[in-house]
Amino acid sequence: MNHSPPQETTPREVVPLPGRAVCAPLVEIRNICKKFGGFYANCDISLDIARGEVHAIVGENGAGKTTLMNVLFGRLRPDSGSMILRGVPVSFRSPREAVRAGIGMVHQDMLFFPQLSVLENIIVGCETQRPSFFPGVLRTGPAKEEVNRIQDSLGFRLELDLQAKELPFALRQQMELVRMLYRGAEILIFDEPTSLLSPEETEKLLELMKSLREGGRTVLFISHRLVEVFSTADRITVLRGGSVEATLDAGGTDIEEIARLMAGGAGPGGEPPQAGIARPKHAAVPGIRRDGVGAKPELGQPAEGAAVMVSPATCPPPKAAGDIAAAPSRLEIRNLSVGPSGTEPALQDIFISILKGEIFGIAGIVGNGQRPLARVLAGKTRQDSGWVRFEGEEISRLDLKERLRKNILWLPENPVEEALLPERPLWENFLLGRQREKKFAKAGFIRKQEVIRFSEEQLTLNGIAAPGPLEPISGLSGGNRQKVALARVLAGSPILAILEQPCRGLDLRAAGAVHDRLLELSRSRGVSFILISYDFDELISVCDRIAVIYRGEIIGKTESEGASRELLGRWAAGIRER
Amino acid sequence: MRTHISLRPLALLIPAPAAGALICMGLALAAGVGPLDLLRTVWSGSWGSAEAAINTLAKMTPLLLTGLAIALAYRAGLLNIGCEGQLTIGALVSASFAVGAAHLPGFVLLPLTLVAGAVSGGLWALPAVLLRQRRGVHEVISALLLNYMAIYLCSYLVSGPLGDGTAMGRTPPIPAGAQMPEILRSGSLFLTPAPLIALAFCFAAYVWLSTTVWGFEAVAGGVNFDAAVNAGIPASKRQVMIFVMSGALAGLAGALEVCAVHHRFYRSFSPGYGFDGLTAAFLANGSPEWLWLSTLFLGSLRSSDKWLQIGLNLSPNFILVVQAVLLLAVAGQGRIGSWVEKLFTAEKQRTGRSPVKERKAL
Repeated sequence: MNHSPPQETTPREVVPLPGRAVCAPLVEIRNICKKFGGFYANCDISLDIARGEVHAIVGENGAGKTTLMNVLFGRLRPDSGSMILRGVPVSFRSPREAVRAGIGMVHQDMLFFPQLSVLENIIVGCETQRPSFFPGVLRTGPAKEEVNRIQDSLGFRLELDLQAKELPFALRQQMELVRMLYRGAEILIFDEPTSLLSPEETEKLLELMKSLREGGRTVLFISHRLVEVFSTADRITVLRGGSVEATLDAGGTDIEEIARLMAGGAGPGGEPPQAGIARPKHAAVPGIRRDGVGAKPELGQPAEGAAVMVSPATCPPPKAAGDIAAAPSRLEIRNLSVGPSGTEPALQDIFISILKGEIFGIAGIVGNGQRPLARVLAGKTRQDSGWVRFEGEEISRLDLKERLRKNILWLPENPVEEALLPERPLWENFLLGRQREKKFAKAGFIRKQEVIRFSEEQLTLNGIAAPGPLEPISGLSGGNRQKVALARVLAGSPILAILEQPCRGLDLRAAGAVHDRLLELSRSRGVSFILISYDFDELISVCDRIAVIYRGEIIGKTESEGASRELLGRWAAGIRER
Repeated sequence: MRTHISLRPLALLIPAPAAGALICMGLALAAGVGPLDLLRTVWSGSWGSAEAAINTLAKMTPLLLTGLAIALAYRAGLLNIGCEGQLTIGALVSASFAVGAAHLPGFVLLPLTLVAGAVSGGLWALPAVLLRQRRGVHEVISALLLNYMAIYLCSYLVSGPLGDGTAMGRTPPIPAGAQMPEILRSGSLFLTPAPLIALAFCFAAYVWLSTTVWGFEAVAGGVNFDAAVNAGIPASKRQVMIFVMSGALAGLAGALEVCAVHHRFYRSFSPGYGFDGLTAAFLANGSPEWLWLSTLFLGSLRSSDKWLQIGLNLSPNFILVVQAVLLLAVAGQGRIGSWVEKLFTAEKQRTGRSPVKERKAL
């Protein structure tokens, strides 16, 4: 196999016969159906993908995007329908066969070998491509050259000898891409590749897709972020409810039309989705935004003065603590420091104070200390120094369980790994963590009927597309699983909720609904939120104040009113002036 | 509360053993025995007469309990491979306890003897799980090693301090008060309520796992340890608890063997009940509510092994082969399942729309 830079043609490439095969599509998908339980994830999907195009597949959560790609990649077998690749009917029984046919996929949740080196992760599965002199001995020399050539052609600089688990997310994605190109992939599927990337990294990835296209490869780009789609795609296919809504030339349509198609026409959906594209909430909720908080805390400073501004009626009476001035804020973080862990930097001297009913955003580029901050606030890890006070009471020494009891709830970044029970029914997932509440348990026995009723309520309330509370959660799409995890936190009557990427993998409408819900809870119930996100627009539109974290330090704080992407971007890049 | 037994494990339980049974019949043919003769002999050897049935039920009892011990730990995300040792310790402790406390009246002595066996089995399991949590030692390794420690320790104890003074390597017989009452007798064989006790434990475990808060917490920790911890469940403590319970069930299996069958402990007490329990648990897919079926199956095979020798002139070890083939079939059931599925989808595609069987040419 040839892993030459994309400029050269690979030997596998069929030279099109003049006149005829030029316009024949590279991949034809015909009448694909895939059913999970009683639920059609894909229903009679037909689609053509032309050679050398960036073809975007867009749709809301659960529209069947990932299922379709998994079918194309051989991870799932369709119930019916066929695929034609380069004019030849194919049926892949495993991803291995798809890879052999030149299809590569960069997954939403990447699977890799954490203990192996980056190089080993890239060549695993085709180590024997270059047989060594001693049979059975892995010869990495030539492979390394090859991989480096691919890296150069893409402008990557991965350290090949590093253990793969040391890589931050964006680099793992690069590793996955190199792995696919090493196998000679001609058709590259990117499944929601930008959901964990910072704006800067996203930009780079989109550029990369374009250059892959220039190099003659075909890119399938799964996303629900229309701005990104429009900046790269040649053609756009809209999926809705498991069927193809339309396939359009990107040049001949606009964001509004696509958003309308995704949401199901201009009909009863009501809210114009295009309002949500740039700034989901600004326009929609102008009235309630700043109420209830009272006066704004000052900017940039550790909010010492903010304490005075809150009316005592809205906060519990300060405890007479003597030496330390009792603060009426909901959460006071002072001098908080945590040692480094893995690829995450140490947290240094964090000062934050959060008011009752405030939504406080933490912005920054992936891997600048957001995770350790969330973990230490949730009580998962201990700080090295400094303290945290919750409603005037020191909680630095409380562990996760004790903080849960104080209604400090946490939504981790990867709910499937950290918050959900895959393979178990939905109702158990809704119950997890609340199994000792009187509502759900009596004399040590679980009141299953209660839990099922509660789960059904939550499914409707949060618009979760699921066959029913008795079905396992593993049958749900990524976005719907995210909704379940978030719904459990919000239904748990939080006083303070630490949300890591609550809208990860959610489509615009769902994300808008989440934002509405957060605003509603904070304004009417006085719930405080710490919202960690890599999406500056999201933070500006939802939060009251935003702090930017850079290499474990809060580099700047601002009110979100009047804050700009550019300012946050400069801070996130480590530039200190305001 | 309503409990609802799912049939899904049953669907898993049938195809694999069926495939295994077919292979075994092929093997029987190769050994010069008609497949139907084999079936008939196994049937008459295990259920053909009252004696055979009593023998089979007696063989089922320890398998039910060790199988349950393994299934329970498995649901909490642990593999208790140390049942053999826990059972041996439980048997020796209960026998010695009964001998030492012979003066107690029967209605106290028998329950206490069983409890002594269970407690000692649970304690024998404790180091394995503590090593896992404090030091990260895999429980399979430590429990496996503890098996040998238990077997050799007991072997020493019955040859010396706890023995009956003979060179037989056995304890004195337990007093009549500690022996289980007979409920059925046929010839020299008798049946005690022990199988019923074991069945009751299986059912109780099923109810516990599927309807109680503690059971839910244990299973949650087994499915996703991290998620359970993040939801405030003390998952490590639950694991310790479950593993000790698992050891206690294996210890109870040993105690029941002493009280209901042998009435004493002797050297190399267990003919591999701990490991057969593994087979039983995996045949039942780790579901306590279906253990009775898998142990019925294994118990029948085990109790008919000598009849193979008498009736068909086959080595009793043939049963071991049968059992191994079955276990392999179950281990490969994912693959067997996908073969079956493929068979159906291929059928559908042939009768359905387009044949997409051609391999693409590269």
